[in-house]
Amino acid sequence: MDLINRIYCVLFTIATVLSLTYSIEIPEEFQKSNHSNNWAVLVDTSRFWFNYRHVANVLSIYRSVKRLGIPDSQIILMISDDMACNPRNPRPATIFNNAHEQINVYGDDVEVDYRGYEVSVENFVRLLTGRVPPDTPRSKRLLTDEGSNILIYLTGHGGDGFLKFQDSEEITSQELADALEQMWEKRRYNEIFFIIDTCQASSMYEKFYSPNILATASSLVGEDSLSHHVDSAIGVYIIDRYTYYVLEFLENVHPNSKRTMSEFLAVCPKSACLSTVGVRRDLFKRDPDKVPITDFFGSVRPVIITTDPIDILDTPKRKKKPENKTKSPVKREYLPQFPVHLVPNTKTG
Amino acid sequence: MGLLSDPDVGSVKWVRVLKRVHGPVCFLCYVGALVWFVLLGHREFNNETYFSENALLPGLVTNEFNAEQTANQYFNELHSELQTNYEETDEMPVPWLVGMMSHIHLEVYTHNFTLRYPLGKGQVFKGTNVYGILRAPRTSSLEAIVVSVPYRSVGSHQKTTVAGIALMLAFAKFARPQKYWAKDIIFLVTQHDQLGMQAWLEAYHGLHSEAEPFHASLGSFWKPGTPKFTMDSFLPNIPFRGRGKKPLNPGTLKGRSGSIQAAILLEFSSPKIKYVEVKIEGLNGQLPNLDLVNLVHKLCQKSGIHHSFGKSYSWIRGRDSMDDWKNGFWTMFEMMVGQIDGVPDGNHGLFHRFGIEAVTLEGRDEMDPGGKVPRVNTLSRCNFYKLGIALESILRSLNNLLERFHQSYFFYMLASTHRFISIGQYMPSLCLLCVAMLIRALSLWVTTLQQDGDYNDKQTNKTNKKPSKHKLEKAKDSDSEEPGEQETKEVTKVKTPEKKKADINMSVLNIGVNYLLVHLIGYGVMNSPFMMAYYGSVYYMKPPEVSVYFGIISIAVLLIFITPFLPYLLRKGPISYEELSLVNILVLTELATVCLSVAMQNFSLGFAMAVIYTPLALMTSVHVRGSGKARACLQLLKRLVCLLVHPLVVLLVCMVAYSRHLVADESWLATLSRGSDAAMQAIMFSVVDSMLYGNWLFNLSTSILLPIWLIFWQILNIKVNAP
Repeated sequence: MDLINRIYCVLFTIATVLSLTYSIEIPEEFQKSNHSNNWAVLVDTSRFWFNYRHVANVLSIYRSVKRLGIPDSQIILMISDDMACNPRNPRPATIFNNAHEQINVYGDDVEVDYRGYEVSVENFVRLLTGRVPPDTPRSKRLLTDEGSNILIYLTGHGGDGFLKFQDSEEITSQELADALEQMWEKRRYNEIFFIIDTCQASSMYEKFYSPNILATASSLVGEDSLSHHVDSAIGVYIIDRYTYYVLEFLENVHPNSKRTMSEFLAVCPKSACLSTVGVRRDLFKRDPDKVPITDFFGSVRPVIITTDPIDILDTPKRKKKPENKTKSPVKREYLPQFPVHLVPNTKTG
Repeated sequence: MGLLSDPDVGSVKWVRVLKRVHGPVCFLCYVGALVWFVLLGHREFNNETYFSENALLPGLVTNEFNAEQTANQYFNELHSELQTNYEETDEMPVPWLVGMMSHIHLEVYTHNFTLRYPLGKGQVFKGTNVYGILRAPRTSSLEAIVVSVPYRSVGSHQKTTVAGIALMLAFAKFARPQKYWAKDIIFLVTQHDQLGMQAWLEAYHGLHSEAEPFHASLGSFWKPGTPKFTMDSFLPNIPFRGRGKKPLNPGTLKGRSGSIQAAILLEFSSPKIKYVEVKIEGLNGQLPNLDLVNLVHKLCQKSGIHHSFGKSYSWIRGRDSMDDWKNGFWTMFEMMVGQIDGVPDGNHGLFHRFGIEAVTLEGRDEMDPGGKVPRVNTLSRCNFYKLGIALESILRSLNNLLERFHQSYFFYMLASTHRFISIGQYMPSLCLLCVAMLIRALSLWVTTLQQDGDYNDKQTNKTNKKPSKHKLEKAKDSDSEEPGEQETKEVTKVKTPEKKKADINMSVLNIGVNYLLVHLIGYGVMNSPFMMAYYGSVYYMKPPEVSVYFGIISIAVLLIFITPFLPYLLRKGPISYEELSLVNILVLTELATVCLSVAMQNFSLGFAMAVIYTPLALMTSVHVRGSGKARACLQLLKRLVCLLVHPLVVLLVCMVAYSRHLVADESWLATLSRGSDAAMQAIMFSVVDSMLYGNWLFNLSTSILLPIWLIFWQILNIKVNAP
C-alpha cells in the first residue's frame, strides 16, 4: 500500500511539473514565424504541345500562390513554351487546368518572367544563386535575403537524377544541390520548400545537403508521375495527378487558414496519385506539423508595430508654390506633368 | 590469332575442324535460317505494337465531324456527273473538282504533266492533277499533310474512288473553318494512278524534266549542267535511254505549301464498305514509319471501323496460340511476297522515297480480290460518318506532330494488325544464310592455301621425284614467270610465305578481267531494253513488251553458251584449280554481301535471293578433270539445278505458279502459256518501273544477280586439272 501511495505521489509530482512547464510555454498561436518575406520560383521546363499539362501545372500553382498573397514582384515564373498561342490550341489565348474549363489560368494578370528559350539550366541556376548579368531587370531577379522563405516548384520531364530542360539540356540533382548550398552560403534564404512534379522526382532532392530545406516529390525513384485526365475538347492531357490534388487542397486554403505543412505533404495518397509521394524532412529544423502552410504559400505583409505616436508633418508644398510665384516670379519653370493640384483629394490633403 | 594467309594455317586445329564440318554446318545454317523465319510468326518471336512518338496524342480529341450529309451529296453529284459526261472517256472531271474545291474556299490549282513513253515509238500521254490547299490559319505554311485520292475513271478495271473523293471534299469543307490546324492540308486528286502521283511529287520537290531519273541523280542535288556519265557519249548512234531525258515531265506547280510530313490516301468506291484494308508497302519495299501504321489501325478501331492488314482481320482473333502462329506467319509471308517486286501497292508507296510517311486506306467489300474473308457477312456496313470521324482523328493526331516521324521502326514486318517483327528479330534468319555462304568461302580459302602449302613442302623435300606435278606447277606459273627461273629458285631455296602467296595470286589478273567482263555484260543487259524496244518496233513491228521479252530471252540463252568460254579469251593454257577456287570464293562473298545489303532496305527481296541462291552457292564446287563417273554425273545434276535458278527461269516458274493459283482448273499447257504471258508483262513492268519510278528490281537482277549466276555457271562448266 505504501509503495502504491509513493508511486501515486511521484506521478502526481511529474504531472504537476509537466503542467507547470506547459503553462509557461508560449501558446502555438503566438509562435512567430522567423522569416520576413516570401518568394516563389515556379518553373515549367518542358516545351511542345503534348506537354500542355506542365504549363497548366505551373500556372495553377502560380494562381494559388498569388491568391494567397505573394505579389507578382516576388514570383519568378518560368514557362518554356507558349501553349496559349500554339496554333494547335482550339481555345486560343487560354490555358485551362481542368476539363470543365472554368478557370482560365492564363488570364490577363499573369506575368511570365522567363519564357521560351530563356528557360534554360544556366538561367535557372543564375537566378537561384543571384549571379545574373548586371543589366537583368528586377523582375527577373530573385532578390531574396536571409529572411526569405522560398517556394520552389518544378515540373517537366525528369529521370533518375536529372530534370530535362527544353528537350535539349538537363540539370542534375547534384547541380541543383550545389546551387542551393551556394544560396545558403550567400544567405539568400531562410527556409526553402521544394516541390517537384516529374517522373522519378524524388531523385532530385536526394543530393541536397544545405539546411532548412523541406522537399517533396510526386514520385519515388523508379516511378512515373502520371497525368490526371484528358480534356478531349483541347485534345491533350490537361494536368498532372500530383498537382491536381495539390490544387484541390490549396483551393481550400486562404491567407488566414491554420493548415499546416504536414497536411500539405499528405495531400496525394498513393491511391490517388498512383505514385508514391516522397518527402525529405531531415534538413528541415522545424516540425512540419507546426509550420503553417502560409509560411511558404502566403506572404508576410510588411507590418511594423510601434507604440510611439508618429508626427506626420503637414507640408503643404502645393500651397507654397503659388506663394513663391507671387513673391518672386521665376522666368523658367517646368510645367507640371499632371495637374495634381487640381485633383480635389490632393488639394484637401 | 593467326593470319588467314599464314603458311602454317593448315596445321591449326580450327582449320582442320572447319574443313571436316563445314558441309554439315552450312546445311544446318540453311535449315536454321528457314526455321527461324517460320518461327517469326509466333507470339514469342514478335511484339505488340506501341506508340513511340509522344506528340501524336492519338484519339484524345472529341470528334466533331458533322459533314455526313455533305459527303453523301458530293457522292451523288459526282456520280451523276460521271454518268452524264465522263462515261466513255478516260478524262478526269477537272472543272467539277475545281469548282467544288473553290466553293469550299481552298486555294485550288491544277497541275499538268506529260509522259513520253520510254519504249517503242515514244507515245505521249498527258494528265492533270487537281489540288486544293487549306492554309493553317494561325501559323506559317512550313509544314503540310496530304490527303489524296487517285481518280479512276468509270471504265477502269479497278474500283472507282468516287466515295473517296466525296469523303475528302466533305472533310475539307468541315476542316476549313476550324482554327486548330498547325499544318496546311493539301487535298489532292491525281490522274493515271501512280504516274500522276509521281509527277506531282516530283514537281512539288522541284525535280526537273532535264534531270536524270530520281535514283540516278541524287534527287534535288542535281543542278543543270552537271557533267554526267552517259552511254551516249561513247556510242552516239545507238539509242540508249532516250537521250538522257526523263520520260516523265512533271511540269511545275503553281502553288506550294511546306514540307510534307505525312500523307493519307483514300480508295473508297462506296461508303457502304465492310472493312478498311491498310496498305503500307512502298517502292522498293520501303515501309512507312510504324507509328503511322499503328496510328491508323488504332484510330480505325476507335472510330468503330473494321480494319485489316493482309490476312489479319481486326474482328477475328485466333482461338489458340497455334492458330495465331499460323495467321501471323501467313500475314507476314503475304506481306513479304508483296514486297519482293518492289512495286508499291498504292500511291502511298511513292511518298516514302521523299521521306514522307504515307499509307493507303482501301475500302473493301465482301468481294475481296485476295480471296474469301472469314465472317465478313456478319460485319455491319460502314458509312461516311464513321469514315469521316476516322479521317478527322487521324489528321488531328498528325496535326500534333512536331517533327517528322522518326521515333519508331522503319524496318519491320507485320504479323497482324497489332503485332510486328523488328529488324533485329528478322535479320538473324538472313544472316544465317549469308553465314553459310561465308563459311563455305572460308573453307574453300583454307583448302586452297593448304593444298598449295602441302605441295610446296613436298616439292622442296623431294625435288624432281614427281615430274607430273612439277609440270603442272610450271604450267601454272607460265603466265607470270619463266618456268626455268621458277624451277631453279624452288630447288635452291625454301620458299618464303610471300612467294607462296604470289603463286596463288599470280593469275588474279585473268580472273579479275573475266569477273569484270561478266559484270559489264550484266550492265549491258540492264541498259538493253530501250534498244530492243526501239529495233523491235522499227524492224519487226512488234510491241515493246514482245521485243523486250524475246530480246532478253535470246541474250540469256546466248550468254549461257558463251560465258563458259569467256575466261579463255585472255589466256592460252588451261585454268588452274586455285584460280577457279578463288573465283568461287569471290562470288560467294559477293552474293552474301549483295543479299545482306539489299535486305537492309528490302528484306523480302534479299531474303528471297538468299533462299534461292544459297543452295546453288553451297553446292557449287570446282570440277576436277578425270575424277570419276559418279562425280561427272553429280556435276551434270548441279548444272541442271543451276539452270533451274536462272533469274529468268525463276521468274517464269513464279509466274506459272501464280497463274495456277489464280486459275486452278486449267490444263498445264494453258497455264504455261498464261505464265509466259505474265512473265512478259512482268519484265515489261519492271523495265518501265525502273525507268519511271526508279524501281530496283530490274536493275538488280540484270546487273548483279545475272552476273553472279553467270559466274556460278562458269565454275560449274569449266573442268580443271587436279592440283
